[in-house]
Amino acid sequence: MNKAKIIFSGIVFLILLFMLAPVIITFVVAFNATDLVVFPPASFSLRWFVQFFLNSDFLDSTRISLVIATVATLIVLFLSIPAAFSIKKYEFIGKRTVEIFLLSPLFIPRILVGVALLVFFVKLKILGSLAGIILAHIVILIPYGVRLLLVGFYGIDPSLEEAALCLGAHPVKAFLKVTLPLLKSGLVGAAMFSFIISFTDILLALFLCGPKTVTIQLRIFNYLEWHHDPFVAAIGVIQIIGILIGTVVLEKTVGLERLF
Amino acid sequence: MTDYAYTLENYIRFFSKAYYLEALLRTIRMSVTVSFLTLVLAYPVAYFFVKSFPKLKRIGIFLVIMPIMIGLVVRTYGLIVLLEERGLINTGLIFLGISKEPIKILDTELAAVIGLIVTFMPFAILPLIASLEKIDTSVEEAGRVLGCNSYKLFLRVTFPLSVPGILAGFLLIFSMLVATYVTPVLLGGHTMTLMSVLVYQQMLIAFNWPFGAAIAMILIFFSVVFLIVYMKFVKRAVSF
Repeated sequence: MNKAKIIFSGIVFLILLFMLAPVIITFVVAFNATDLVVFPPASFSLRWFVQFFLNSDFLDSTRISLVIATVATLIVLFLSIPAAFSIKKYEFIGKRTVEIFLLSPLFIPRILVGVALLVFFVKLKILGSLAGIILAHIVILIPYGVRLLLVGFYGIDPSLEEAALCLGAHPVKAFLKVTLPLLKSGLVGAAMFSFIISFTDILLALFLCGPKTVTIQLRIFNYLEWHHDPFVAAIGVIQIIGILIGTVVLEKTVGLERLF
Repeated sequence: MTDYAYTLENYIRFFSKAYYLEALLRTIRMSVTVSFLTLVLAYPVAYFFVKSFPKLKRIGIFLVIMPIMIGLVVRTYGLIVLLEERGLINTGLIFLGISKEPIKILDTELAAVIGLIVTFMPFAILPLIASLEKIDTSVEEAGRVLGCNSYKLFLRVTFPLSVPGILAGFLLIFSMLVATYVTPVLLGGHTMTLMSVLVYQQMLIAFNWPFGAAIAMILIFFSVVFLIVYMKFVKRAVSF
């Protein structure tokens, strides 16, 4: 290795450190014993984690976020499977348009999706309700669901389903018994990704949450406007560990390179 | 709910007040600056991972995507701790003797810019990796055989071939930056009145929805116009 290469690697390492600094810092600060964020911490403790599990507001918000993410993910999968299946399997007029339409929420900044849904939800009288937030999450998750499942469907050899049909299986049975099991890794990937996007959303929450439906991200956001103590870091660590596991699952199922 | 009538009043209000126009200019200026700086920092990282062996590249992609997955709010918290008066940067500066007193970084425009660069870097690295990967290695080999040294090879062959990826990355993060809200609000404090902040204020604090909607439309309009101009310009630049 020559000198220039070592210097270049060093620069890359520093840039990566800069990019990952917020995550690394959160990890260290969460175990800080004092109220003030001192870096590096002088003494370590688990008190901030204990405080999280004793704080009913934050626990409630976590539960709400988990419910929203779970329900939205299930509905998105339910809607995306037939959509991706038909786009892959059939030729029909306007197929390209349908595909672009299903991906379109991706092209609009999420904060503006929030604004539009705010006005719409007031008309529907569901602003601030759990159902409203789940509906909003479905809107932004559909593009990811359809795209990841399309990747999954394209990875399946169509001759397998044809074989099942030739052997006399009913089309529905062929789909349920042959195609769907083959789609498993695509499904797991799409579900995991949708869940994470929903759980970490803040921009829709800013506009659509009511006093009884404050998601955990919104709760943290509001807290951060006034406090900077290590309490948030403890919640952050719990969230980061959960998402790290999810990201590893994504890497094993659909492959991270296909996500964005 | 009041009844609404059609009017251009809200657009006129926006364009006749310096305060709002400044917010528009600030948004565009901030988006261009941050996009540029982010790409400058992202390029070496993408280059490094594309040229490294496959296993390291997989780790690299994991490291790039992981922060995106962790979510904006928690990452912004990490940035607050980094930039605070007693944060890592100030501790470092004092330790190294560069400054005696902690510098106020949080709640300034600088904090917002640093935060946005960190936040959007993964989104810049990914398209750069994709475009650098597409470059046919035989073209680079040809350059080497024809007597290019490493620097010349990069400047004359690799870099020009990666320009489409750079432009795609710029497009992607610029379109995200014009509507960014969380990072500038939590890090820039009251110094960062951006278009997204105005939209939020009008919709949820002033409850002036027609005006808020007008600002949202102006934001979309200007980002689309910018992108069209940019793409025209890019097409001409690439055809050379």
